[in-house]
Amino acid sequence: MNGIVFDIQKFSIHDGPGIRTTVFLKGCPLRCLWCHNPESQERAAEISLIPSKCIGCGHCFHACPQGGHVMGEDGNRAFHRERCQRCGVCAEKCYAKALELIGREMTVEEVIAEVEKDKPFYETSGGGMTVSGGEPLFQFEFTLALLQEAKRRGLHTCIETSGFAPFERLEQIRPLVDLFLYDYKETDPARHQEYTGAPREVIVDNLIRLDQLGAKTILRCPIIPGLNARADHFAGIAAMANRLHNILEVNLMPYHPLGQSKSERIGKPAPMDDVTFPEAATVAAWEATVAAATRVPVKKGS
Amino acid sequence: MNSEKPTARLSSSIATLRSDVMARKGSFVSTVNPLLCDVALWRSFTPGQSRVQRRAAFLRELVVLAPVEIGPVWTLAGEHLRPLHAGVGACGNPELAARFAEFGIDAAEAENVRRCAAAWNGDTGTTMPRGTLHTDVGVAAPGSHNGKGGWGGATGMDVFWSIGWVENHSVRDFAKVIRIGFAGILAEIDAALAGGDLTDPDFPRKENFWRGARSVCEAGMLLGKRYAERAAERAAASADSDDKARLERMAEACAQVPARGARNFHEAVQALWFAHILTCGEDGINANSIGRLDQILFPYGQAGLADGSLTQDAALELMEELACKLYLDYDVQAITLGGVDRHGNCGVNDLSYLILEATRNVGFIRDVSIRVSKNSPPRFLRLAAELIVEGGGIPFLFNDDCFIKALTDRGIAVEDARDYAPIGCIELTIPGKANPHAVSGWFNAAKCLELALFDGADPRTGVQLGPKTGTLGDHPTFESLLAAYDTQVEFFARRMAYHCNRGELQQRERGPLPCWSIMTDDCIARGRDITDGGAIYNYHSICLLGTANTADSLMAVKKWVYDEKQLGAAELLDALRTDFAGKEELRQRLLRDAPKYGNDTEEVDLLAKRVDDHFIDLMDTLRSPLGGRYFVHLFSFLCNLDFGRCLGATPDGRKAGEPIAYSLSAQQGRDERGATAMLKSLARLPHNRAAGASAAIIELDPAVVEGEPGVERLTTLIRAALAMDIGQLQFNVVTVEKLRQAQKDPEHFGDLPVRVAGFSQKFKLVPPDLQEHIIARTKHTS
Repeated sequence: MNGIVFDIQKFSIHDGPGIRTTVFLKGCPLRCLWCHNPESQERAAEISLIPSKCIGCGHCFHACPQGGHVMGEDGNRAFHRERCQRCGVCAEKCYAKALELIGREMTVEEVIAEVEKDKPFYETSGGGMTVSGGEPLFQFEFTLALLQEAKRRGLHTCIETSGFAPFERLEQIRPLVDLFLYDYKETDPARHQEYTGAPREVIVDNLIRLDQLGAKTILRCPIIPGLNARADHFAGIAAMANRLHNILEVNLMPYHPLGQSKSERIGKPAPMDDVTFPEAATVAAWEATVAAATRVPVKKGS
Repeated sequence: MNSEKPTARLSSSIATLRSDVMARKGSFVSTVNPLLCDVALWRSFTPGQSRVQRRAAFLRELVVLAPVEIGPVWTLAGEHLRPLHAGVGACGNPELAARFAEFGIDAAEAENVRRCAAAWNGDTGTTMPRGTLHTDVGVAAPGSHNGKGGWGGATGMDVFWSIGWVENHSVRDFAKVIRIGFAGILAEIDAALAGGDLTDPDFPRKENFWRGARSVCEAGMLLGKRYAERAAERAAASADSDDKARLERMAEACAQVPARGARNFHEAVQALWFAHILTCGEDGINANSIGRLDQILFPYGQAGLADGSLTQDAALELMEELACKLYLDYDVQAITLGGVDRHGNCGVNDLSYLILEATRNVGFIRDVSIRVSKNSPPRFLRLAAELIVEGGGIPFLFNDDCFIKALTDRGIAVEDARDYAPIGCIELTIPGKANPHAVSGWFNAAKCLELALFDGADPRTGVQLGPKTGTLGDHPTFESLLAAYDTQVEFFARRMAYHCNRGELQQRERGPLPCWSIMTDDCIARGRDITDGGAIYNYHSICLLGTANTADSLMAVKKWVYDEKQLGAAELLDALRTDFAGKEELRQRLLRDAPKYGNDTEEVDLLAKRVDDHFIDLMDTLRSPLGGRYFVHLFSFLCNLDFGRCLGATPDGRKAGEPIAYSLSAQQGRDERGATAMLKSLARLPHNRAAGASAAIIELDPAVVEGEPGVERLTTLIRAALAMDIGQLQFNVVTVEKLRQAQKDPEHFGDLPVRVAGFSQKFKLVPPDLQEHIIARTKHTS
């Protein structure tokens, strides 16, 4: 069983309890405006270019069978993405790692072997593996196999999901997942569709059904100034938290603009280049607003 | 945070002591006459005395002449005997001539003092810098360096550097002084003298030692007596009843200790402090270490708390006062807490916590280590983690499971091995029982690999330094290259040991150390000075440098030259010789496209293990003139900079002259997969064979250890590291941004404490090149 993995992050401390390894799978059905992992959206591999790392060795000019990398008229290197077939040959020859292939095929065994390397830390910290994305339910067969293998080896598991998937998938993985990190992005249905490209109803419906099955969840709420940092949404978060029986925490995730530079690297426009980090006091005020309306602990996440 | 500020928890009296000692830059009498050491030396000359007697007499004269001052508020008496920055030879300074009068010495006699000092200095062949005698004995000895082929200037440190002897690097038997006092030790010496056989051919030599040892005991007793008398005078003259009571208590304590055994907790601490300043008077402060303070003081603290004569608060304040007494800008007077006792039971006690708490409260960058293991009490680890996240880089962690095994495997009795304590930075000793010859030699594995690639010749100068083992192109297989590397290591390691052995002999001939000796078993029973085989355990410890660079370089050569066969030997050697001029692409390939130590990649980590194991195996076969073994420190101190300067470009993509890796850390910036991967790599190395201890600094993003979850996280990281048998760990919790700010504005931000190399220091006191090195290895915030 192979999956397309775009990163395996060791020593993850924000994706569930303890010290964890987070496996990022490529492909997502949503197109959130604020996405901080834009390289995860497409299921196919992509080429990332960080021009500041380029040492001008010229290997990629020769390596690319499509002539995608050329010396531009201004004397600087140019990357014609329209010619790119995403074969990754250029990245292989780029020793300076200016060019990188985002997304590579891995087997369940390969991923688990990497995850198990940090077992000594899971044991002392109560950590384990978190499957993230993209949307891990998008590569469902792989995610299922990965979780099964993790459980077989006694690893604690989390999944970070938008919840946008047929419910059967959630139902199937539920016994294999110790904790769901479930996104709650927008309360207003029209805005939800506008900001994420997906309908709200399925996601909320899945969440409630999952809760009824006894799944432990943390509600993860990205808060973006100018979009969903609104009183009605904060009230909506609290209301949703109050509806769930097996929820552990609400995490408010203040917007960070990391996704912007990542978009540029893969040749995509950054959709929200005018939004900046919210101030700490602003974030604290958000927390207080939500906390006032729910019994569930509210924490700042990242 | 700024750890050079006291916490709010500090009482006003300790805050006063803290300011006082910082203003004086340590426990020194600021008005002391800089000619003190010269005059003491001159007064100690008595015709017909042996050298050991003369050394002892010198110490006694220091005690006689040193000014006795008692500051306000202090409850502990005693200032260092020697001036901060003057040793024997200050009398050569004509500007100081007028100050001879303070000792009642006229011009004619002053000339005698000068001749006496000149003879002493000339005799020892040193210039006696910075107030210590004989510090540089081995260093100054001809041929003790291999000074050829320096790449970045004549530092003389390229393949190895031998000292053979380092004064003051030890932990002396403070427990014994506290228990029986110098009078008790004197009685032991007299018994030995009385029991000696006049016809024993060795008796005259033993007698010289015993007579010198008697003088040291007398000096120790006199030290307490002088302070007792001064305190009594001051008490009599004091109009303030609190102050009078303080001085009367002090007079009473000093009348008891260090002459006789301590009767309570306060006297135990006072005795320890007197013994410390006495022994520092003999061979300098530097790394004259305290050892297992919680174990030494526990019986007295426990008794006091039990009978109600001592309260927790009073004990805490006294430990804070002791921390103030020990204050120095550069402090490597190591204190060790926790660990198992001599029977193998957990030795963590109330004082272990209390002393950590005191360390935290005074907020100095003190040199405090804890001994821990898989079985350490969770509360103890937790308190240590709390201190670490506060940012001072203390305490340092030593894993009992590793080091007790390393020591017992090398001939230390298990009860004694369980009693080990670090000296200075990380060097291990057996308190009161060993002559550890710490950091006796320094050895650069990476330079040996460079020579193995270039037929034993330095690629920059062409000078043939090592044996001709062929160039890279002459080796058909990677194994053949490894064999050439081994040959280079063995060639230089033997020479290094030879020079270490010479250093050991030189100290024996030139500088007996009777004070160290009477505080080390079995010097008195054997009638032998510490320099002459008096200690139960004699060994040398050698620092091995360049583990990461050697492994990374071997890995890159293996991958590109031997496995992939995409890089010719001549091309690589040419690129190394010319420091990758015009070959940046090749450098990037070597740098980025070959596994690097520090990322939990087994193949390269096992090469690092092989480098260490090979060197330890070799050292295990060597012996010193005293029959001592050669232990290994997997530790670089700051010398990774000097040895880096002497090393050309290396196949790991490192450019010529750049620093090599700190101790067992990855080459700076090469550990890209986070702290857990770094720890996994570290766990593959032979910590439990490094009887001199191992070392690594783990850089943590402060965000990772923020708040309560951060402390918990760090505790779990430490517990995992211990479970994986990692030997010694230090953590740095600062950001690059903070360090840059400290560089730009040292006045306001320069007090930021950083882990330097087995010790912590204020960033502003670190030299510029070392500042850059620390920044390079520090993680950027995520």
